[in-house]
Order: sequence, then structure tokens, then C-alpha cells
Amino acid sequence: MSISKAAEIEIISALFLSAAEQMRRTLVRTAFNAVIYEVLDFGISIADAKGRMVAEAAGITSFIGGNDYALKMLLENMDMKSLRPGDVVMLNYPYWNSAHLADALLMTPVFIDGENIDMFLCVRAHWLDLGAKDAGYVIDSTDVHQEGIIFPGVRVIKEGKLDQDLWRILEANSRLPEAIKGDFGAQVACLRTGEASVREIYAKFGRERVLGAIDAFFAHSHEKTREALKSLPKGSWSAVEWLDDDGVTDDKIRMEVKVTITEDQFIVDYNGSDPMVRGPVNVPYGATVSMAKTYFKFLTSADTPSNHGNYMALDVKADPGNLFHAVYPAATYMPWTHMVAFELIAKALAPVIDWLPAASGGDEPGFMALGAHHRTGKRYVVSNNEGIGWGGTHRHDGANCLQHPSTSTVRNTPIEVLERQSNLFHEALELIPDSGGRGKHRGGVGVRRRVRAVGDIEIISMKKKSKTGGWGLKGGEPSPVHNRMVFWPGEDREKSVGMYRQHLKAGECFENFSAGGSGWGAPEERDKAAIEYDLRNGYVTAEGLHAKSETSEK
Amino acid sequence: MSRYKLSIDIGGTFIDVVAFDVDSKVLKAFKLPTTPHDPAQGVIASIGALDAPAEAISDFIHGTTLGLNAILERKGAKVGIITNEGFRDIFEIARGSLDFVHMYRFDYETPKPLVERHLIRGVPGRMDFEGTEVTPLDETAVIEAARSLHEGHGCAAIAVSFLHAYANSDHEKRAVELIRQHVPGVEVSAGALIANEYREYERTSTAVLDAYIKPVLKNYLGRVSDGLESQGFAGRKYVMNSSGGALTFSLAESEPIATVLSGPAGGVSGALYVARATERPNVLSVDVGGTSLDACLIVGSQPLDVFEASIENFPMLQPIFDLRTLGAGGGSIAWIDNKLLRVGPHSAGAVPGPACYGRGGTDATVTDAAVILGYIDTTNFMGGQMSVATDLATAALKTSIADPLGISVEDAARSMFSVLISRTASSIKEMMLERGLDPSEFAMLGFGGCGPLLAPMLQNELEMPELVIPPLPSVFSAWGMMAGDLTFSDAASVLSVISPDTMIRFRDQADALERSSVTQLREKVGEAVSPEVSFLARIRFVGQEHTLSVPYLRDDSAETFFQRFSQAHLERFGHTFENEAEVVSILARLVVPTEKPDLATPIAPSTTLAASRPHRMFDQASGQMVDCEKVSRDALVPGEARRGPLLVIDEGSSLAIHGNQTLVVDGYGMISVRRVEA
Repeated sequence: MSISKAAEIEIISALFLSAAEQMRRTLVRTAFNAVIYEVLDFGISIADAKGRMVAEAAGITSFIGGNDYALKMLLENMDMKSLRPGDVVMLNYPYWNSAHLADALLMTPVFIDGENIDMFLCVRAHWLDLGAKDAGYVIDSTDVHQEGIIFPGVRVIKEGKLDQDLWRILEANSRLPEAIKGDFGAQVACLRTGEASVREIYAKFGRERVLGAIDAFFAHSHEKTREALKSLPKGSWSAVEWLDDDGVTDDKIRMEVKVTITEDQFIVDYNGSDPMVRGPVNVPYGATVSMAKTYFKFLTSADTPSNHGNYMALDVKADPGNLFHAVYPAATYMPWTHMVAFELIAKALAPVIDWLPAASGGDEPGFMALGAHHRTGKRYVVSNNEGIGWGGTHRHDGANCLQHPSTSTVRNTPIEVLERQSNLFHEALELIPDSGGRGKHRGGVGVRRRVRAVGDIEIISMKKKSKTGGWGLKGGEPSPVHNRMVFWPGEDREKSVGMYRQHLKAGECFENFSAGGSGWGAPEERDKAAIEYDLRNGYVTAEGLHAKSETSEK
Repeated sequence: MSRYKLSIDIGGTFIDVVAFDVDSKVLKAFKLPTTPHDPAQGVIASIGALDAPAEAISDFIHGTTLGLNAILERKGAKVGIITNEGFRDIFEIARGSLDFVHMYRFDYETPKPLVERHLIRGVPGRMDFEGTEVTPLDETAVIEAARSLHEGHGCAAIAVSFLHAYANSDHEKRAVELIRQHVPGVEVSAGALIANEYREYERTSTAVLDAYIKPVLKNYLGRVSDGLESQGFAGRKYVMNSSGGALTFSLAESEPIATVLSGPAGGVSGALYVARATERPNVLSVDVGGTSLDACLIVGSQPLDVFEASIENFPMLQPIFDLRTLGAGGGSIAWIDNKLLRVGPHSAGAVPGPACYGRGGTDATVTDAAVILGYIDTTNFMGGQMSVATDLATAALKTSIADPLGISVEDAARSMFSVLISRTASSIKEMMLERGLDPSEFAMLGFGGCGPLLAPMLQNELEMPELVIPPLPSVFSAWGMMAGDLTFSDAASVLSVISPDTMIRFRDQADALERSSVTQLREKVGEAVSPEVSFLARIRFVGQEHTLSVPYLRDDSAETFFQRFSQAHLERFGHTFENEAEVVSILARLVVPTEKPDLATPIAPSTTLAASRPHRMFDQASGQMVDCEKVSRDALVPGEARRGPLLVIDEGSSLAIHGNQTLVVDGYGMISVRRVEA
């Protein structure tokens, strides 16, 4: 008696997934910084010798497939023959890596029998400080050298031994050398865990059966994706979205996508977008690919883990020099571009695919606050990711006040945490009535947060879609413009901003607003009971029930 | 006349009953069908099924999933919330994130909130993070809000939750007082009074869940009480809580959220008892029922508690065992997904159940595969109360798995187990790795109806040195309830760093907490109990959000206290820091020991099982179907080692020992299975 091939493929694919999951748990367990273990700002993957992703464990939603392009660039640009067992390569050169410079990737090759590379393991995570021009976050860099020290694919560990000279350079270039050391250690531990698991799989089944199974589940995933593609319409559709500005000038930036679906391909072309800009909102091509993969995943396989096979039908186009294919020395520190651009694919396809949701609030309109604590005098940095309304769909209303879809696993920061750790004192946190676009299924609502400073604070308002509204579907209305921060509300000097740094004195106020989602279907078709429910619960006011929303720049 | 303790656990299909004759020290177990339309009926009926009068029962211990089901099925009470003015959306906004399983669902539909927004009222009143009153509580507004919610909108319960109430709960206490005084018909739960911890959404959610199930649980326990008492029962009544202790009915009614994981906690409580009594400090408990496999870790004779418990994504700040649902159970269905053979997550459930039950199921389930491979004794399934049809199991596997894949039915069955066991073992490894633990340093304890079926294969896959199967494995959760002590816990918020100066304050707070909680316990129990008191502190490094629970001793110095926390941090996260640690709260745990069966307690022998008969089953070690022996557990001679392949049966389960394993009944009556080194 023997187990069937179908069982063996399932078992081996599940074992690789488990290996990635074990890497994830090791990283979370051993990381020093909360950005890793609470915000989950990391991506983990296992690839075969050709760099094809076998399994992954994402932290943040849109980090899916994020390491694939980085590994491809390493394979193209590094001498792989020079790699030895136990080596660990570090990469944070944004144009090769799929992320901004603070997200350093570590890669280790796995030599099962010591001769050739059989697998690659990768982990990318957010490092607290790699020597950028500003501590915390950079919102106005104009070239990559202002963003930190660059590792263009360098062996930091050679045959298991840390290169002390390199490490001293790294430490000398960071404001937080201790934290860096801890997180580096956690990433290495994560790789070592993965290596042990992968070795077990090879030991149990042998190379031939493992490789056979990998090919089979790539084919399986590819077929499943093609099946999903079959049910999508064929043709080409475009959409345009606007980014507030580049952080150093006030000009809006045009972003365009053209999506083409054929029998066996899904082509996402960003070349209609503006060229690269001076400020740090340019997107590394690898990040553009992962953004497209994330939405493609929702369209084709939202509920299953993914591998190389799921993306064989996807082609992402953005030529060097485009906003979505940054080249040296373009600044790329602000990942807000791919949040605002995230739903472009949906916007292009929604007119022809019934089940896509209308626009969400379209931004991650959060904030950071820093300063010295009014009671203890200690320095602090706190941040909060604000929820937005999601778009209505053909089946239901959009969700109220959730994180942006591309960061759907991230959590907001409790008021009690913010108030203990900083000089913020909240006066209100409430949903904003009428902030969702009207529709048969209305958009979810956004939120208003009113805060008073109980000591001096430096506030960084984080928003890149504060000038334009959303887009509704099938007669549903776009959501009103809402993402913004208002300093000194109600006073003569009241000031409304998007991405901005502002110093506030004790006693002064700000309000943070997040946008709602847009509506699906004509508002006249809305179910009576749903209208009554909205009115009863104040998601919609009697006036808002009939008023068209304000969707252009004020 | 004999005196009995009775424990009752309700599952999906059966009510498990274990009776302990306190005088003659004999255990008896039986199963009754559940009464899904009215669970109380089945519970009351179990008293009648005991061959002793109700007057003879001194203690009645109950594990109920009623509160949990009310939440899962959205069948709780209409609840209103009273909170701070300007903050009424904290409950709906929550933490704004999607669960990992939904992370790519950009068309996500949020479930309807448990509390409609118009039933949430903000009232003036505000504390700051140090517990200093910034705005006094508007008492009139509280009374008006409560009246309107109860009388105007029909709310049966109100949850009260205010910002920073963990630092100063005066406003919550006062609001509860006012509501009880002015609106006596409504139930009240208050966040900080249940869970004195920071994070406003999590506390509000705890209060809302508590309020949501309070009227339901009160009504249910009332009917169970009446039913028991009408038959002459006059003993003590307990409900199991989620961390393995027993609560009196009145304690459970006043804080029902403590009972939500009442059922599975019985199994862990039993596992903990076994771990301590048999000197196996590190135990992985594996409870396999019809639909799922629940695993929990006991490390150094202490159960691990969860970091952050939740039900249906609603967090609850409650002491709860870290119980993980990791995989498939006996009813899980195998299916072909293009090129892959998958097992679960769909289950045939109690109805129709596996194909072999002959109740109309046609899907191939794990139980059907077990029948084909000889892992289940078809002649005595569920103590003979249920017949098992091999031909139906064969037909199900042939149609849905074997024929489409072009393999034999036996190969199909074996393939299903390979998939299931490999995946489950991976999940167990992941769970242990998250805590930095190594399976080779643990004994596995297998129980539940399908525990003995899967555990030997899991032991092989995980290469664990020992597998332990307790007596009466299929009703072990009910047995475990008897092993629990009467417990009560209460917490006080502390929020100060560990230093020589603050240690004095901690001790004063611990003393005060002990006095108040002992008084509360006596009031609730109605007797002069003298509990054993111990303390746990929730600690974190300054700047962290999450805390760890660490024992606090009143004679601790700042140094010993900090070191204990630092060590726990090292074990949990693989590193520790030198900087300041902050005590968030102190929890007093009161334990009143109860009389319980020890492991030497004999079990009333079964009457129907033959000592030994020939059998045929699939042996993992040799990779083929083999002839072997089928023995009754009663017939195993303590101390005598037996080598597999071998099928051991008792009234509710079958244990398949493979060729690379040996078993021996140890001095405690446990079956100990070890792997033979190749």
C-alpha cells in the first residue's frame, strides 16, 4: 500500500507552508521592535533554486510576493556561485528590493547536500533606523542617499560568521544600534528555523519527490488561477487616481492603470502614470508588482495561500523612470503611493465585474506624535493608523472604519495607550455621519478624532489622498472628501492639511478625519429597512439621506 | 446510602456523564443523547439516568457551551452600552483590522454589531490615564440613559465602560450602583469590574459579551436548578470556568463571561491534574472530537494561558487556557481539489455524521477511513450504542476519493490519514515554536472520542517520546471537571514600575485585594470558606502593549520580582531587556480544594467487551494490513508491556498501537505508549 500522489503533493505543499509559518512565528517571537511584532511589518518567503516562490507568510496584506522581485534581482546581480552554506545576504537598495530603504531583506541559500543551492529563504522586515536624514519617518527626501545606508546585496554573514567590519559600519550609521542588532538577530533566527524545516522536508521525501511536488503544486495553483481568469471578462480597461503631492511641491500626481485580460493573461500596465517626481513618493518596481499581486490575489484566490503558480498569468508593466518604476537616485521612502494607487485595478475593472467593491476611503490617514512626556519628561514616539470606510458591494454596505485594504491586518492604537505614552488627550472619537457615499449599498463611514495637547507635541499628519473623493459604482455615489487633519479647529487660524509636520503647544487642539467608502447602486434603490437602520443609528442623517456628496477639492 | 459527585459535559452529539461514588470510591461513566432544542432537559435527565436517587448527589459540576453558543449564534440578550460622552463608537470601531483568514477579502462584510449604535449612550464624566477625575460623572445622565435603554428600548442588559476605568473605577462602580438602584429590572456588567486592564475596546468588548449572555445563562442555570431540585437534589451546584476552576451557580450568574470556554476547559483541567499527579510536568493535551482537534500546552506543571483571548473576533480579557483548535476531527470530510487531496475544514458534524453511521452521510470522513483501516472497533462503537457500517464507509471512500484518483479504497484511506496527520503535526510544531518549545520534551495526552485514534499517529509524526491515554478517554473532559477546585479571582489595577519603593505598595494592594476578594467569595458561596490565595501580576516592559502574567509573592524583593518577569520574557520571546518593567495589575486567585477522585479510583468494569479477539488493521510501521489482536482495556495487565500492532478498546473509543510502538499500563492506570527505536 502507498499513499497517493495527490496526498503527497498536498503534504509537501503544506509542509513548505508550515516552514514559512514557523519562520513567521520565530520572527514575531524574537523581534525587538513593536513595528515587527505588533504592526507585523514584514514578509517571509521560501523559493526554489530558480527563485520561484514556493510558500510565504505575509505580515502586512500588501507584502504578498514582495520578496520575489528582490530575489530575482539578487539572482541577476550577484554572483550566486560565490555563495556558501551559512551565508546571509542583506539587501535594502530600493530599486532591487520591493520596498523603501528601511525594509531590509535578508536572504540565505540552502544547500541540501553542500554542493548546489536548492532553495532560497528570504525575510524582509522594517528596521527602526538605518541612518535616514530624519528620525522616525522621512516625508520629504529628494534622493535615496537621504534615506539611509544602502546594502546592495552584501554578504553580512559568511559561512555562518558575522562580518564584524561590516557590522560596525552598520551600527555606526544607525541612531538605534541596539534595536538594529536585536531585529537582525530575529531575522537570522527566522532564516535558521526555515532552513531546518526545509532540510526536514528534503530528508523525508528526497530531492526528486520534493521537486516533483513543487512543480505539481505550481501547476495546480496556475490552473486554479486560470480557472478564475476564465470567469473574468476579456478586454482592456483604464482608470486614473490622484496622489495629493510629492511632499516637496504642491502638485497633484496622476496615476493611471490599464488592465488587459486575455484568455490566459492578466496585464497591469502603469505606464500612463506621471513620470518620477522629486519627493519620496516614487515606487520601486518590486513594490508595484506586489501591489498588483495583492489585488490580483483578491480577484483570483482570496482564501488560499499563494505560490509562484498563482502569479504566472500576471504581468505588471511600468517602464524605468515612471512613478511606478523608480530608478536611481529617486526618493522612495513614502509607501503611501501604493496605498492610494491600490484600488486602481478595481476602479478599472469595476464597470465590467459586478462583484467588485466601490472605492474605500482610499488612504491610510493616520498620524505620529513625538515629544517629551508631560508627566515624566521621557521622549516618546507614538503612532496611529486611522480606519476608513470601505466601499459598498453588490451584496452589502461597505464596512465602517476599517484599516485600508492594503494594510488590512494592521490595528489602530488604543486611546488609553496613546494617552499614557504621549501628550495626547482625546475629546472625541466618533464615526462621521454621511461620510459614506450614498447607494443601494452605501459606503462605510469614516471617523473623526478630536485631541487636545496636554504638553507640547510635534504632530506628523500622514495622508496622501486629502484632495479628491472616491468613486461609486452602478449609480452609487462617491464618498465625500474627508481625509485631512485640522489644527486649531474653530479658531481663526484653523488650518486643514494632508501630509504635514506641525508643532502644537499645550492646550491646543487638532482633529483627524478619515474618509468613508463610496456607494454601490442607485441610492433610490436602497432598501427601506436599511434606510431606517441608518437613520436610527445615525450613520446617515435626515439631511444626508437626500444630499449629494461633495467630492471635489474644497 | 452512597454519596455521589456528578459531572456533566455537553458536546455536539452526546452528554457525557461521570459519577464518582465518594464513599466506595468508584467511577462510573455513561453517555446520553443531547437535547438541542432545550439543553437543560438533557442535563436534568442525566440525574434520572444515574442508578442512585438525586438526594445522594452532593456535588453537581457542569460544563456548558450555552454562553459560547449564544455568542456564536447571535442569540444573546438585547444589550445597551453606557460610556463616555464623545466616545460611543469605541465598540464598533474596535481595532479596525481584519483577521488573517480574511486579509485578502477586499469585499469583506462586517457582521452586524452585537449592540446597535442607537443603544450606545455617552454620558459626561472622564478620568485621565493616572485615574484623576477630569470631569465628574453626570449621575442624572446615567440614570436617564439606563431608563431609556431598558424601558424605552427593551434592553435586558447594560454594559458600562469608561475610559481609563482600569486606573480608577469609581465612575463605573457608581454607574452600576445607580443603575441597580433606579432601574432594577436590567442586568449590568462593567468593564473594569470584570477585567481591570487597560485598552478600552478590549474592556468594553468583555463587558458587552458578559452582558450579552447574562440573561441567557441566568435563565438556563435557573431551569437546571429547578429541574434538579424537583427531583430531590439538594447538593452544591458548580459551573466550570474557562481556566479550569469551578464556580458556584451564583458566581457564574454574576459573571457569566468566565464560563464561555467551560466545556473544553474540563479537558485541560483533567490534563493538568494528570500532569501533576503522574509527575509529567510537560504535557501536550490533544482533545479530538467529532469536528475538531483542540490542543493545549502544560509547561512545568502549569497550563499556558492565552495572550489575547477572543470569540468570533470579540476580545475578552479573561483568564483562559491557551486552547488552540488546530485541525480536523472524526467528522472532517476529505475531498479532491484539482491535483490535491485535502481533508477538512468541512465536517459532516453530528448530522448526518460520517457515512458509516448510516444516517445519510455520503462524504468520506476521517471516521470512515478509520473504519476501513481497522482503527475503530465496529462491533462496539460508542459502547455498542451505535452501529457502524463498513460497507457505507467503503462506498463513500470509493466514490469520492479512490475512484477519481484511480487507487484502492485502502490506499485512499491511508492517504487521508497521511494528509491529516502531517498537517496537524505541523500545526502543533508551529504552536510550540511560537513559545520556543520542543515536542521531544513533552508527553502527549490524547483523549476525546477520536483522541486515541489519532494520537498514536501524531506521536510517530512528531517523534514524541511518550503518549499517554487516560482511563475513560472519551469522557475525559467530564472527568476533568471533577478534578477542578472551586476558584474565584479578582484583580486590581496597579500601573507602576517595579522598584524597591513600589514593592511596599504592591504588598498593601495585594493585602487589600485578598481581604476584599475573600469577602466577596464568602458572600457568593454562602459559607465560611478558607481559600488558598495566590497572586499573579501582569507585567510588561515600559513601552510595550502586551503583558505577561507572572506569579507575585508578597515577600518578593524588587530584584526577585523583576528577575522572574525577565526570565518569563526570555522564555516567551527569546530575549529580555534591562530597562524598567511596569506592573499593570495584580490578580488574586482564590482556590478552595474540593474532594475529587484520584487516579487510583477504580472504574466500574464494562460488561460487554471480550478480553481478546482477533482483528485486522493497517500498521503504519510495516505499511500494510496485518492480523493482530483486539484487547479490552480492562484486560490489560498493569506493568506488562505489549508491542503493537494492537487495537485496545474501551466503551467509547479505540486505540490503535502500531508496530513501532509499545504500551504499558503504568502505576497510575494510564496507558503509556512509547516508540521503539528502530
